[in-house]
Amino acid sequence: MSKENKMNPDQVSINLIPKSSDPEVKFINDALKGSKEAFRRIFDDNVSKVYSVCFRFTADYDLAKELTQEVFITAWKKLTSFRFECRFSTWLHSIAVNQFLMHERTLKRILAGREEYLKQTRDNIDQNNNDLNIDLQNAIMKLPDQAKAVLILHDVEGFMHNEIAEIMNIKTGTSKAHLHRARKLLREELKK
Amino acid sequence: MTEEINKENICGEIELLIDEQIEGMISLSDKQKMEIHVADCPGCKEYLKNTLETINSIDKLNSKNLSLQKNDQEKMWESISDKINFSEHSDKVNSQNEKSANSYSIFRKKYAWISGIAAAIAVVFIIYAVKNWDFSQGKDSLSYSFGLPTYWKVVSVKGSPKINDMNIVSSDSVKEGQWITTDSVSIAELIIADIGKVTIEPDSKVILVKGADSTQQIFVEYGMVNTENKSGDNRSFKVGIPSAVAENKGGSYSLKIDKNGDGMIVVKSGKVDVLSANKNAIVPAGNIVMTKNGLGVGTPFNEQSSPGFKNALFNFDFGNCNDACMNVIIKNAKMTDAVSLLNILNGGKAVTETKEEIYNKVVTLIPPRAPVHKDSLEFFDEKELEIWIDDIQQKIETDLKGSLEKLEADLLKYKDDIQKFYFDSAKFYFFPENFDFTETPGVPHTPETYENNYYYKYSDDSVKFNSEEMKREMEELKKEIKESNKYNKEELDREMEQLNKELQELNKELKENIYFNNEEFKKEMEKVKEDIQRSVKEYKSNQNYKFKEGDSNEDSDEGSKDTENSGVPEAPDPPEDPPDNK
Repeated sequence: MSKENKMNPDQVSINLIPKSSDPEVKFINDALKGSKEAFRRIFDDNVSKVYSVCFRFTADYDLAKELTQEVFITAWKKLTSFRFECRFSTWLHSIAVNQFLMHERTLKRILAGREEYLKQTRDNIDQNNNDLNIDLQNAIMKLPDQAKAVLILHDVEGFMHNEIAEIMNIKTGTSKAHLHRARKLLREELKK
Repeated sequence: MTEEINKENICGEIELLIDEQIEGMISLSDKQKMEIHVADCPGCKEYLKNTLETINSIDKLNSKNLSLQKNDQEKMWESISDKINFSEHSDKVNSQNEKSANSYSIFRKKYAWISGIAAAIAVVFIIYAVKNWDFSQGKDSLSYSFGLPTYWKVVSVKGSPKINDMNIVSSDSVKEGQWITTDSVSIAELIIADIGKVTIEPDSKVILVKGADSTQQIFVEYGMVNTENKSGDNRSFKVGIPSAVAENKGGSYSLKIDKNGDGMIVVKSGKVDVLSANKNAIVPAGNIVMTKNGLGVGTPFNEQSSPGFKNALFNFDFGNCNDACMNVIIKNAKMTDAVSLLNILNGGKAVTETKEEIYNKVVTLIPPRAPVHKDSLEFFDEKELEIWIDDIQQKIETDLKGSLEKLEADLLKYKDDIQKFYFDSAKFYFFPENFDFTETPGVPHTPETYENNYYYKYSDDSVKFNSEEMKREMEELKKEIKESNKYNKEELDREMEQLNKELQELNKELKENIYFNNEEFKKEMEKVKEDIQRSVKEYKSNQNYKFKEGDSNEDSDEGSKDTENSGVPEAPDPPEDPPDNK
């Protein structure tokens, strides 16, 4: 028998969807095949984490819910482009950060100025959030968007710089610089 | 002042080290350096204290306390699921399965007709059906029915290609798991149903495999294949290679894989998607993409791209691409490189800042139909990207067409000029001065007719104008004329010398004849002088000057040397005493 006959075609085929015992991989594969239940499972497993980070970004419950919805809808649309190169939750966070940054920019364009926007944000915090450190949350809201995103992902959500670099598609050094700046600005704001 | 600046710089550095320390990612030496500095620096000590306090404060915002209420979660899911089409991603597979189902249903219908035979009503109809049934088409239709055990038709084009260890005689069929190999002279052709074909060139090895999406694929282990998709609709077929899969979406491309599994895909027409674990590449016609075993697909580049650009892309894809390298890619990109830039934009390797730069660059080359906000660059819609790439291809094609038309026009112009040059040369050397080229009846006097006119007189009509021969003839003629000129000059010199001698003799004669009438002599001399000057002038203005023998006796001429020096022959002394009247 020739050498080629011994080769298993499945081993030489390029399998873009990895065969893995990880149930998440199976859910994703099943979802791609049209399984609503599989995507529901993905949603259930990740919604709290996504909602949490969206709330940290916005300090607004309703807005966080809206963003969370958008994150999952976008994730569905882009599911075919998920390459299993990172954790699925990391990929979702990446979408969340971008949704947030997009939202912020749109909002800033709509609103006349940053002060008005911040005032509205502060009002939202006052109305919706009694159990959090309001001063701190206010100070975080005043941070520049990128710095705020890095601070939340690093100091609140516990991501490492290399993960943040992946999520935000920036260099690790840039992530470190953002964090350094964010902490400094936060401290100065809290001192006022 | 300098000390203060130095201190600031050091403190800035130490602050970063403090961040690293908090992160837990500091090296031992940096840690020692930081601790020594902090111990003596109140500013940095303050920074460390404040940073830790800030982090502790933020810890209070621990996200674990935040969770969505169960009913909120349920509502959210309902809202999301309403907005999602769950069959969106499986549509393609489903549509393929539908085709399979249709094939199957046709098959069943056939059996229904057979049962009609049993009813003995449709015997004639069956005969008709059997007569007209295109079996080859039926087989091909089945062969792209995804998910069914299928056989693909393979044809031996040249030499002795093999399926596993067996020679393909003329045509055969190959199924999943079987190898097709060609030696140094063999060529085989694999028929992909009615979609297209894959030509397996010499020294190649391919196998039919089941792809990741359960569809059948060809996998090229090494060698070269040419693929062609002639379906004309949206059907495509995939060819697997080490680390990537190429999907021919209509058109043709060549694919070469070396023994290491590294490859190159050259797209001749249409568009090819090359998918790999790290990224996808959209490769339109006129573009080339490299693949590296274990690393996946690179960024496509145009055949016209500069070597510097290609080199930088290679480093970007498979090596280290520093800022200078990125600079080469972005700053040096031309219109033909726009597809490369868009592919980088679509991939995940470039960082956001770079993607923004790339986007801005491509927009200057050719803007997208709808502007893309930079926040959306991370989630570029592939369909929009393909439309953009199509626009780029269209523009390149239009530009190329324009350039070719201009080149063609220039060539025509040059052709006319060249013909005119040869004609003018021929006219000058071959034709009599009074030859009238417009005299040929019914032939207008245009550059196009020069050639005809020329051969009308001097050549057989059937002989084609031969520019090389013409050139040779010209050269020979020039040489002849040159030699002829030389001869004329020598002859003239000789004659001039003779004339000079005669003139000197005349001078001597005059000197001797003192009784010569002075007035008459002067007139005679003036005449001679004028003749000589006129002759010299004519000689100078016309190289073909012919000395007139008849004149030599009465009109004296002189060598150019003497004439130029004195203008006239030396005048004789006037007679001192006129002789007595004779």
